[in-house]
Amino acid sequence: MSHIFINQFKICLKKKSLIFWTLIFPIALGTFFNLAFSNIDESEKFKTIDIAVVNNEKFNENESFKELIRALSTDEEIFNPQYVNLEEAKSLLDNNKIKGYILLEEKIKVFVKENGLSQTIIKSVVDNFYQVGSAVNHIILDKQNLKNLVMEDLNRNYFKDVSNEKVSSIVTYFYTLIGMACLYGGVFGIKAVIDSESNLSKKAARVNVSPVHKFKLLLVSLVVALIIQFTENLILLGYLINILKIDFGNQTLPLIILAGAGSFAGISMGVLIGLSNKKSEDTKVGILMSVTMALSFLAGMMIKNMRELVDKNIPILGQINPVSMITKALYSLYYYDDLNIYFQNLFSLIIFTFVMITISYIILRRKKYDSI
Amino acid sequence: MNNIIEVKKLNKKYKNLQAVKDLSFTVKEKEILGLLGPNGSGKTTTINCILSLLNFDSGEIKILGEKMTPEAYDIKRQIGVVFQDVAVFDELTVYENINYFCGLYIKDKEERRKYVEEAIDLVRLNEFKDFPPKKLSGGLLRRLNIACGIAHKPKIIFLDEPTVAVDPQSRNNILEGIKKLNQDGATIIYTTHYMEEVEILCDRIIILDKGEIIASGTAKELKELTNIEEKVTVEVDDLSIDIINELNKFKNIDEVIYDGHILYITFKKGKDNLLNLIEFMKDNKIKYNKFFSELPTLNDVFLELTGKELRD
Repeated sequence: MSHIFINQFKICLKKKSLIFWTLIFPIALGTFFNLAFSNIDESEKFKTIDIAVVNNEKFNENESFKELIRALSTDEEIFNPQYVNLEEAKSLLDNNKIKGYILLEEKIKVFVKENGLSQTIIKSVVDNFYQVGSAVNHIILDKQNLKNLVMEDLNRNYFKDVSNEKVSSIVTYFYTLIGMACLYGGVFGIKAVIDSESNLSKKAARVNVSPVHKFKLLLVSLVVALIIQFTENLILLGYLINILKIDFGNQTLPLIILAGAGSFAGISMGVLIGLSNKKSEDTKVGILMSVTMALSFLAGMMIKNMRELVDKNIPILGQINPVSMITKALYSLYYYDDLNIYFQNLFSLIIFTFVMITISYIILRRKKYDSI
Repeated sequence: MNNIIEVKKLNKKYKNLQAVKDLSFTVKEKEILGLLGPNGSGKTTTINCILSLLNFDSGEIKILGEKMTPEAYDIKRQIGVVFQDVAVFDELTVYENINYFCGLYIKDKEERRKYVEEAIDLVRLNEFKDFPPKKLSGGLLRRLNIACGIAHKPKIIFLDEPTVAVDPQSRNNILEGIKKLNQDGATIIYTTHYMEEVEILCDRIIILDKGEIIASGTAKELKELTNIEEKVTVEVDDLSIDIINELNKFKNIDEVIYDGHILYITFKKGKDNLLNLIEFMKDNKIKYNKFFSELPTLNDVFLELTGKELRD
């Protein structure tokens, strides 16, 4: 068996198309995603708002407001204030150096040039100060509490969809990419089947007339496939984590187990596709690619919210989609502290693999064929 | 000699097509049996049934006295197969390919190395053993295909049209190699639609058509089945209609064809055909350039038995 094992290893590693689809293509696609989506993530991040505060007598007298601006700029990094005179503040606003400026007179006034989230936040801070901050001078309200009350309002109204969310919006694309790469491992499964079923190739016929049991040969080929695919998945994960700096959480062992289970699922799907028809190897690979792409699309590879849409409208499709299972498991490792969702999806993936193998085994039990 | 292979009443249908019909024959130890027939005559199907690769509808197949089944690993150990289509790995070199397939039979590394080298020698691929198959010509690929099938020195070798689309030099090498294998003790079942090859190579020939045996025997025995004695070709110009008519009245004449330059005459069984023809030409002062005669071929046998040519 070691003879077959070594040679199958050599054959798989030398077959450029296999390595392309299972390693090079996912790495290239990951790099492309990184280039294409990193700006999206950046644009969705909250940026500190440049403001000016007119440094006049009224401002210097209002300790509470001074402290609030300081706290919002140093503790929370919401504002980047410049303390200037009125003329300078006007000039900064005219030249678009700031989003707005605050002038303390009898009342506190906010001056802006245009409307937007930043301007609304400046106004909101001032409004909040009026509502709760004025009390500071009359009742004993801790200055820290004032900031907390203002922040609470800001978080509730403005930041809940962005900075309060732990998840980077682009990681889903990379998680589906891992799912896709796992299923692309199916090309190894297709190859293993073609090389062992005599109605699919003459090489297999040659093996089937030899004293080697075809199941042994297939098993060796699949072990080789699993080792290569698993290694490639680890390389891909290493590339995404270390080079592209994609966050996969910090639970290494579950991540490795998922990479292994995903590899197995992909290869088993390839075996079934290989056995399902008598078309050429290229056609079988084409079918695998198309099915994987469709499953990856439904798992959110091209549209971020697709997986949620599928789960909401056609939940069964989400439950039987191996790319979704892998994506959800990776997401859970990243987002949740406990492993419940991870194990649910890992278990689903194992059931999927079991179903693929069972159907394949039923087909593979044939020892002779009606035609070859 | 013992019967190495016994096929009895073999029947195989593909949907509505009867591919093999009531086929019975035996192959004796150390003989070369040729299965001759046109494309679609059932040669490959017969081989695949014998090798237990194909289901068949009825019949019995025994190899080395045992019933052949997909699990008959002891029998399979004694068999080598060279399929019609080249079946090698593009990712392995010539040496690695032969070593891989030989390794399915021979476990010992040293013994295998010796066998692989001998197979390379036999098919004369020594210069190309580090080449990947993609860099080999069609003829060299066929030789590699053969080496992969026979490197483990099997007792029984099935060769399914191994010389299809092969250049003359490679064909000669292949045929010489097959003779050598037979001399070394292998029993060979050789399918082809090239009648010249079976004449050169085979001890016994089975002619198949539409899945049935239409004749069998040695090349000489088969040729005796035809009513043709000989075929004569004469290069001659300006023969008159009268002369052609006279030739048609000749004793034992089967057919006379004249295209204005070459005269083709086919004689039925009988004596002194050539002598009579030469005398006739001399008497009629017919001048000719070339004159040659050939004995009937297996194609003539096939033509007479089926009404069509082997390569139709």
